[in-house]
Amino acid sequence: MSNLKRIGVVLLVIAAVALVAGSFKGSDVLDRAIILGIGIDAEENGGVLMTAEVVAPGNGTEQVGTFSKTVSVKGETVNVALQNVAEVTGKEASLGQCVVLVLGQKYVENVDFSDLTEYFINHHSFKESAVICCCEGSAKDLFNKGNALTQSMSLAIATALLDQAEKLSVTNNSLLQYARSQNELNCTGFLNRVAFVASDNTDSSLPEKELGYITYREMCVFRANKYITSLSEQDVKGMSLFLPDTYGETFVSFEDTVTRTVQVTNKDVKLKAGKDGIEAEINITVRYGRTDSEEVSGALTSKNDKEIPQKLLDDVTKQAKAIAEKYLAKQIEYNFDLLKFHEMYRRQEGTSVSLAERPMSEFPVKLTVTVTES
Amino acid sequence: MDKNRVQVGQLALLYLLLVMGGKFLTLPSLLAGDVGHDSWLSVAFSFVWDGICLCFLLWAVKMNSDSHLDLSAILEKSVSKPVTKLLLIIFFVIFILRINVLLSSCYKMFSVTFDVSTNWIVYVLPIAALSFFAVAKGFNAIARMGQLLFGLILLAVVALFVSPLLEVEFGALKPLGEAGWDKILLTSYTRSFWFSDYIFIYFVLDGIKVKKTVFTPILISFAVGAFLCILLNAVFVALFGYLAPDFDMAMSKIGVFSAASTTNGRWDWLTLSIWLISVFIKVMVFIFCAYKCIEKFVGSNFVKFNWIAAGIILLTLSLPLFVSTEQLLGTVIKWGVIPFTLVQYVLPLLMPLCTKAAKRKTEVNNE
Repeated sequence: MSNLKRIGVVLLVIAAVALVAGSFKGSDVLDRAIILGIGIDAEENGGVLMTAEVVAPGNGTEQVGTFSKTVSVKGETVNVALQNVAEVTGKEASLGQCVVLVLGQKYVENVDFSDLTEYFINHHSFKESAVICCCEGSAKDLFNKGNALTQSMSLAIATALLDQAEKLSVTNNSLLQYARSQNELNCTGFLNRVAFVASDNTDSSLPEKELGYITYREMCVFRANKYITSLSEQDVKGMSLFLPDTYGETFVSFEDTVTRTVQVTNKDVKLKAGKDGIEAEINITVRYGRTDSEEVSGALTSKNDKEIPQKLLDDVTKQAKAIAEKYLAKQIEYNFDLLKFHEMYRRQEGTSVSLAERPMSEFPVKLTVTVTES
Repeated sequence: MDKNRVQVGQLALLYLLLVMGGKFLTLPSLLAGDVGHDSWLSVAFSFVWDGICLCFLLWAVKMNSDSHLDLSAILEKSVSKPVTKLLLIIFFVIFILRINVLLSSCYKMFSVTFDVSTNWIVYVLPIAALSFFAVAKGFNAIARMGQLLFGLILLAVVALFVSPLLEVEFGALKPLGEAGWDKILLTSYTRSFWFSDYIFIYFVLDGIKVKKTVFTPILISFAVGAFLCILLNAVFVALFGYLAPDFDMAMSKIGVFSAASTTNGRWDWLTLSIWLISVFIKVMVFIFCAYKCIEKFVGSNFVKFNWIAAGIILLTLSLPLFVSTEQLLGTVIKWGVIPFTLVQYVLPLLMPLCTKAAKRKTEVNNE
């Protein structure tokens, strides 16, 4: 090949590469409003108030960490509200990094939000593994408490529900799990209820600053994206006893003047669906809890390295059985199925309309609880 | 001839990449739409047929190892020239359709998952250019590229799999055969278009260097590839339940369950991009085969790169501009299943006989 031909080929390749590269339309990260979390509240006229926590990247190298701001916009639908976020921020709303979707109390209790669930589950960018939860009060107020946590509210909620919940015997929910629960068999599922709790500010340099933390020990139950009831902390504790993957429940026993706390360290749960109902065997392993257990409102409890007496184990067994039965009664009362009894029968009998329509009262539970020391 | 030489080890690695590339795009959602949570059984049955046919084809490869006859020589000497031409046309159509389906699925993935949009022609041109460059360099170049990238791609697939694997409850796949065994078997046949990736071996028959064994490495690759595909389908339907038929980009959906992606960025996008290389390698292999189909059809060996053959293939890559993938799958591929069966499932079974007959004829002619 002559030199002239070589130069010609090189020029041709450069032109082709430039043409191809120029034809791919991507978008610059600075042209995007990267949304970390979305809050949805009900609007009086039937629309939604969307609060988005948007990452605000620094222009220099001085800023370290995640800097975010919240933007609240109204819209007739979620899609319109998202477009309004783009209008307010002047950037295209990007949902690829969104980790949490928080639904306000008024919204979940009064609105059938099937459209919203369907919108996000079918959204190509929104991750199905993102956390979905509801909150006490409005989602807008919750997102604006980010400063009080001294970190991003979205990341705080996602980390808490994904990483810590299991250790505190609170089940967590992804958008996928929730969406499936509302459309399959009994069509019931739950959302964790997040609440902000203000705490005293002892920082003398910033005495006006609001401080606090978030809790997530209660739940709301939904059927086909409509609110049914709420589960108290005790109910959630009862439910978690049936879930082998959650642990960390604490039980408090009062004996004469001594208060003792034991903590669940391991759990073996066997659920068997039979003709006469469900057989549930829960074997929990406990050890003495910390001396400053929250269960006794911060009061010091007696720590003991000795063997746990049988009397204490019996007491824990009684307590565990009582809260588990209370939870089961609530399942029947409101006809919701968070323990997936219908699914257990589906795996045996196959999918059918008659199975999906069977009320929870047709699944009596024979419960056995045993407690041993670890 | 030498540039198309390939060792059995290279062939095995390339075959594994081909099995894994492309089956994790639209196929899982289509199968879920057909037979629900039993889709993995349908995939398993498809692989059983594939395994049987592959064994026969490898038998033919072994028989051919000392004579190095190419596909058209074997067929012309055993089943006549007109039948050979007919089979080559079927091969050409199947390769072109598979290339188009793969490319349009990737195109969709780029635009919806990575939010990168372009027009079809600009998207196809660089891929076609790379493929034709590989064709010009010979099959050995593609095989060596597969060999180089194999480890990286396999790691990416494993990384994409691990997290969802921990999330999934395999009990959700019960009861087995709920969709009905006849329906599962029928689905495995009607969706066979996505399977029998071994068909590329037909076009490198004359270049395979068989030293010791041909069966073990390729069958191991096949087993690993089949296992991963069945597992992915099982994970996909167990994880997404009633939503599975609506999620047409299985791999990008499964990737979001990477634990690290939840609050520490999108690790899944990186692994997904690496996995996509296997799809492009598959496209390159099929373009090589389509080019060979034209070469064998006109009955001459292209000593130099043939621009007309390349032009014909390039023209056929504009198919998605006129017909959507859904239309393609709903009509052409639906009705094409029967003729495709000839080259996918009947021909491999006859290949040892054909090879034996062709070898005998060659020996007689030489004498």
